[in-house]
Amino acid sequence: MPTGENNLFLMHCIDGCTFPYPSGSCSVSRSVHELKALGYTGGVICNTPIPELETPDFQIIPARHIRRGSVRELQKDIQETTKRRMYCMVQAGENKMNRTFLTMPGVHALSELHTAPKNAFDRFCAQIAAERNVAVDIRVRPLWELRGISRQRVIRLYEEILLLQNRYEFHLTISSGALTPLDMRGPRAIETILTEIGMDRDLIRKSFDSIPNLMKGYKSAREISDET
Amino acid sequence: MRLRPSMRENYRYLLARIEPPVPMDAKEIFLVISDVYCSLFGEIQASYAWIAVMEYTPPYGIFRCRRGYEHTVEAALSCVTSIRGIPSVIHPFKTSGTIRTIREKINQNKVDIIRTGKVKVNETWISVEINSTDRIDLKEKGINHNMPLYITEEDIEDLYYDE
Repeated sequence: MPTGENNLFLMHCIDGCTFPYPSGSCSVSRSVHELKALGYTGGVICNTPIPELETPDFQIIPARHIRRGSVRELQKDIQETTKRRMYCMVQAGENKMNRTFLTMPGVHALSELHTAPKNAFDRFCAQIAAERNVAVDIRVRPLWELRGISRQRVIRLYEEILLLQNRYEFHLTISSGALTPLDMRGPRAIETILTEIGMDRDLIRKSFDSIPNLMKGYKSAREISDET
Repeated sequence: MRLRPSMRENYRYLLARIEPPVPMDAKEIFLVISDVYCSLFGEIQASYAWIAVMEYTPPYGIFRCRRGYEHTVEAALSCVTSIRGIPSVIHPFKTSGTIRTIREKINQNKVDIIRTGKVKVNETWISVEINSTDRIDLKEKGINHNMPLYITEEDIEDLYYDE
């Protein structure tokens, strides 16, 4: 299963979010080609119709990335995405909005938390995410795109998310959010960067593989105590 | 200061692919990596890491660092977004204790040959750079943004290479 020179994993390795044309500047086939060359075994292709491509050993996951808007518009978009059986990601907003998104049926992941206001994702959100099997997306692009205080803020936010993940055990996904091939990084590079900011290697590997389970609706394993 | 061989520090060598494979000076790459490393880990760690660019033969670059710092150097290499003002990316893919193993790895990998040509997309002919691994980059000036700039052979209607 592992493909490409960068893949160190013996399991699925999926980039959680890429934006080909019209959002980005590369075609779907080029995005798939680049991801495969970097060592991924699958990729989430957002907001674009997917042409018929022969991609052996590569799983293409069609997705919809829903930007912030009114609750009614969002509900309509999510229902439409659920009907088409697509992977559904919602851009995080304010704390109350995030709680609403997390309780909406059909939402698979909450993304772009780094653009959300401070305290947008708290322990109540974490609890709801764990209960309703919704993942939190770790966008890695800001880690190399930003500099100085803004990057420090993102690292601090991810540290808080990891702390909550450790406590509530909700799913995580890892995405590049790539618009061009130059925004893409291999799994090995992403693993190194995330390890440097304090993410556990096992968790990184689990997060790379979490999207198929989210689509199937599997819940993470939980320890049941013997209360006799 | 000259030390006995047993007292010398051990090195680690990193092999990385730099995209786009533009010919450039190794010093320019070093300055960028040094800057990125400093912003990520600080001046003190940068002074301990002993980063050096051993050689750069497009698209592969060989980097050297002190043993124990290879993960941080790899992270810094992955965080490079531009070199000499050109949007670029460095993909590290092998770490070794000897430069010989790294050179063997380079020899194993096939070299990408970039050729210029023209492709027909949406009934218009556009100048492109064609990579031997089926990657096609649209290069024409003042290009219409109603089409993707990075494509493959599956997206085009016709193709011919320049002489």
